[in-house]
Amino acid sequence: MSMKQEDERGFLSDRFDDWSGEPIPNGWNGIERKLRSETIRRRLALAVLPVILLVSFSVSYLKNPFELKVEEPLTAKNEVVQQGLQSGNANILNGSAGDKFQMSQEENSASENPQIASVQNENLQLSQHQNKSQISSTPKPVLASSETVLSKSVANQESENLISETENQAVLAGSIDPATILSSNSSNDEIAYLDPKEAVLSLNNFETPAIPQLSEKPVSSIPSKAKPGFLRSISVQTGYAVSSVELNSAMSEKWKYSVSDPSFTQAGFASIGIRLEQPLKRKLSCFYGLEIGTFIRKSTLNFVSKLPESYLISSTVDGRYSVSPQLAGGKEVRTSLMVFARAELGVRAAITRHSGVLASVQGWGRLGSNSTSTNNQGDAFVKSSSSIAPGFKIGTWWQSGPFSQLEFSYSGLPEKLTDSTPGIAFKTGLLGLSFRQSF
Amino acid sequence: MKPEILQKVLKGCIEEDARQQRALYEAFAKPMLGICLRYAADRMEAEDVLQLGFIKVFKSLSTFQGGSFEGWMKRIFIRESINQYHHRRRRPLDFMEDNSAAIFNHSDGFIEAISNLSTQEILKMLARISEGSRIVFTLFAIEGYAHAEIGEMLGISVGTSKSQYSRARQLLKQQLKNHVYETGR
Repeated sequence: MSMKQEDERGFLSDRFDDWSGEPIPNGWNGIERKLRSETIRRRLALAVLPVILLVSFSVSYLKNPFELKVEEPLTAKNEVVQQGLQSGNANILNGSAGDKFQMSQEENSASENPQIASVQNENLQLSQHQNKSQISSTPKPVLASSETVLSKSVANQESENLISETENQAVLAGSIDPATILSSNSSNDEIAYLDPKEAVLSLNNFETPAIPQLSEKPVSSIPSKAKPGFLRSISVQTGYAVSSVELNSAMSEKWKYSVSDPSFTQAGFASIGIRLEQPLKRKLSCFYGLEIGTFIRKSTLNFVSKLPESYLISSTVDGRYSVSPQLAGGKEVRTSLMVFARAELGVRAAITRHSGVLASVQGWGRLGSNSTSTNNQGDAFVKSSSSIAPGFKIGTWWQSGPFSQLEFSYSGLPEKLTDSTPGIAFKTGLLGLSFRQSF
Repeated sequence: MKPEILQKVLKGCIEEDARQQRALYEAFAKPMLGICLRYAADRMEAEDVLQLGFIKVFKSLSTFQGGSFEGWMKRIFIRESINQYHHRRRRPLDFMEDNSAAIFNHSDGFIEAISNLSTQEILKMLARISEGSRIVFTLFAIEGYAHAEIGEMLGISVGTSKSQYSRARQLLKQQLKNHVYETGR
């Protein structure tokens, strides 16, 4: 019986081969709309996800900064070969790594209770002098300072090197004097005010507010919460930051070093934002926007000592000696990270049908920042006391789709928001490319 | 659609070219709507299934391994029609486990009688029987799926599929008798 039923399999298929229905005329529009919305969602997710990850990573990094290793300690820049001259007062510096090396520098103004740890190998003796002292309960916050002094002297003239390194760190931690707080609170006692927590409202004295009389108003005069004509959009932006760095004379004097190559700076940023746009005229509209993003800058500073750290004495062919000064050098990598928010108010004008220009004034706010250095040769980073700063943006836009725009813009980064080092001046401009999707 | 043109259109669709996607829709919308109409409760549902089916086709086009493209599309639309039915009812098709109806008389002239009807008349008769039986009948007699395949698609046993087909056959036979009585054919 089953075999007989199987014989009927597909017996009507021929009848329906050419049978078809007539789709509704605008059937494709619905499919296209759904396809487009899914494509937009996918692209937005792909674009937004890295930015969210970057910002999340930055925020978590700011909470728990990773430890940075000192990449390259201060070393003599040029290799010096000892020519066999031994002199009672001359210091001979041999600067190749681990070889004969002699350098003397004394600068220690805040050493207390020195502790010396020495490690002696076959040809190396390292003395480390480290002192840390903390002063607390000072009335005013004092900036932390650190100073590193390398002291190296000849301990053995018979090919044994002695390197002693003394490091003094004095950390002055700032705190607020409790007396200051008390005096501040006591001054408020003179001001009469009602503490909401202790307020008691009597029902007897409670009066029912009068019910306002309703009056008819024309529809146009009734304020609408949803302002018609507002165009909402979400954007992701990333870009390159053009930075330049300068070392001013005061810092140069203090450091006794000069920056030999300050130009190697890598910086970038990424942000995500939302914007409301209100058309003003046919080709002009104003917009309000809010962005949150991350800015990171990595600067490599090469230093050269201004004064000779040692002298190279070498014999010449004619039996004389020549003395040449040796400059010490060093490299420091400074990394600054900042999470920022910026609000903007601007105008957008159309030049052609699909492109135009825009300009805005911005208010920058620092949500968090952190800075690290591989070598605290100079002063530590100083956190800016200012967390808001004005800015600007100019740019061009291009309508890339019915509901999408591309923007290329230049905006100045207010340097007062980022952690700074006295004497080093950064000037940063942000070149950004953003993709904006209306919804 | 010629094979070389179809290849070009498919390539464009994979690259999300809107013009090629529209070309594919216009080429296959009518026959696919015909499939949807066989399963849907009404035309509106068939249009919805047509949209969903084409979206699924565009999304899974990169997985097309070759062979008959129309057959591949047809399977997608049939599955989408069944899924839509499940979704609409919010529960799986309720097939009664009954093997007794699988016994029927093959030489009863059913095939000859129904073959004399027009396509539209067959669809009208199918619309009057229960949905479970109609779907099994359509899958077996029109689409040409085996009972094992139908059972797999609908999540039922082979025996249930056979019994549902027999039930549909009996109901259609009854309608054929009425039809002969009304029309005199």
